Amino acid sequence: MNFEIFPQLILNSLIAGSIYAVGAAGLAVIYSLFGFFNFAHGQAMMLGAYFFYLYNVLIGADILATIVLFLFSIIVFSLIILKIFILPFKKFHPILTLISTLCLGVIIESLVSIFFGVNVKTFAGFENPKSIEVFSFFITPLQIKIIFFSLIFIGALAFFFNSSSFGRLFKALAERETVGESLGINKTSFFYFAFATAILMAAISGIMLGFETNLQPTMGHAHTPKVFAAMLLGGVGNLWGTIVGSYFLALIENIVAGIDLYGYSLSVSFKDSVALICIILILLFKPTGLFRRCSRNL
Amino acid sequence: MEYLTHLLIIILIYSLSAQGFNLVFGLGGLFNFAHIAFVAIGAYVAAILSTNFDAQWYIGLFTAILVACLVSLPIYFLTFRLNGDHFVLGSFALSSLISMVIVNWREVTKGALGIAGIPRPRIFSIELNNNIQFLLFVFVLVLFSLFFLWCLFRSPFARKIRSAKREISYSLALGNNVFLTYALFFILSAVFASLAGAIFAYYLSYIDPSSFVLADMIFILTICAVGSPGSFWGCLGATLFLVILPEFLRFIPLPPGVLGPLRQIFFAGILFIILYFRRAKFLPYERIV
Repeated sequence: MNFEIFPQLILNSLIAGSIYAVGAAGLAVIYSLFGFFNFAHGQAMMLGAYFFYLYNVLIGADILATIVLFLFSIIVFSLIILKIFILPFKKFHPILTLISTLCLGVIIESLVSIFFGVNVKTFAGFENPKSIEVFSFFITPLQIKIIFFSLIFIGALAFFFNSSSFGRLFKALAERETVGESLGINKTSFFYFAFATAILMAAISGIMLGFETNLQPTMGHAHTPKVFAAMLLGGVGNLWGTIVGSYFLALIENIVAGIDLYGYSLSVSFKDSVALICIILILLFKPTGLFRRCSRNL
Repeated sequence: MEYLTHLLIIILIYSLSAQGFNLVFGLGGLFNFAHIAFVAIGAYVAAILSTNFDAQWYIGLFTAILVACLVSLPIYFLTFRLNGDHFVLGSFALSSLISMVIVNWREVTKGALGIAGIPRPRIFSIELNNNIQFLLFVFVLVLFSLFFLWCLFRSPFARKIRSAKREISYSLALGNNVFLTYALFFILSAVFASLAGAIFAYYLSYIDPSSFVLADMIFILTICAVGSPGSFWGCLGATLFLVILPEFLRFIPLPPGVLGPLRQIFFAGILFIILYFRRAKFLPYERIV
């Protein structure tokens, strides 16, 4: 077992974990408020990355205009999705919403592969190949930015939902809907706001993923189980737990892929199965997640 | 004529697979994501046996069914204790694991390249190279299976699982062993799924992991939803309808990169529309969280 690559592994898992955390935080918000698993979450990440690609690379807008256009399109998209695909099913069986988001994911993925093609895309122009050597591991400036921005977004979201008066109303609504309504909360506008925030977080994490790896229509489908695993590890609907869970998941993934155990190393293709095994083990043995906190509670 | 035969064979294969899914989803109300994994297991076992070991077709079919049953048992024991949407998530994870094993176990399944050159079945020293002969072979197999399923759908045994779907506590109170009933239906579903997969492998004589992905699961789910879950004849009619309908997309002149995604949008759209308009009756209301 060689320990030279260990700092590099921890750094890699920090980067991957930041990306998962931003995506999974959105999923946790959706689950705690609506009570269903959003199977289109990976596709929302993918769509965010492609929107950014469209505005920044294809149209060629500068960074400020890109951000404005991106925010606008993601928010409009999320409101339409909530109106058509989620709210009509809210009063019925939770599996119905799950199936409708499954349809939504397939539709988004197919539309993206029709409009942008199935080829691999990159955010050209942002590439910065030279990496900085810190102690014994390598990091590019882009990765530092990814970690920095994800910390900002996660912190803002967690502060908003845990420490602001607005967030307390969310908690009330998530815990018991009718009681929340009787407090005078306008339920529908809160739903729209929370869903737009969650999809925005997913889209931002998709952009980070696009910078870190490449753009591909199938990347959404590949990342859905990871986001689920991160959320389940931290306990369903627990925001802080989800964030810790995503870093934990990334750490396990990188250890499985990178550790060389006396000449016998696991193949990199096993990296994706870690998230699936985590989902199954957590569901079977510890459905409340690693942290002691009951479900449907932000 | 060749095209029509091909369509009929595809319809027969998909009707078997969709009826298998209907057993668990329609009668039992469990959305079993691992169904497509059973189809894949059936296809791969039959393909490996007949290419590597020169096994006869009946040995291939029988072993495919046996392996799918053996795999379905642990999946059932692992996932049945989860309820509601957790069941869906658990079976989703397990089926993704199985497909990941199929893609990465290159020594046996040849990975993403797929297995080519699967011989057609040989009955009384006649190799069914002609598609019409193969259609007859499939027709006989599927007819027997569908007859068995028809009897099953009408039997009092199906009433047990229907009652468990409606209200599990009442069903338990009446002395229905829900765990065993679901287990039997789950295994039967795996049997028909793997049978369909094995016939699929013998028919195309080439399989690769891309035939058993989420899009196919959506297709089977759409068939089940269009034919109203739990209905035998509805499921058959929906298979006929949904296999033939997207064939018209072929006649529209489109670039090849568009046709595949368009088919997926088509099925997902149909599934969503059905879901939207029948949302009150699609699954009985139960809210756990």
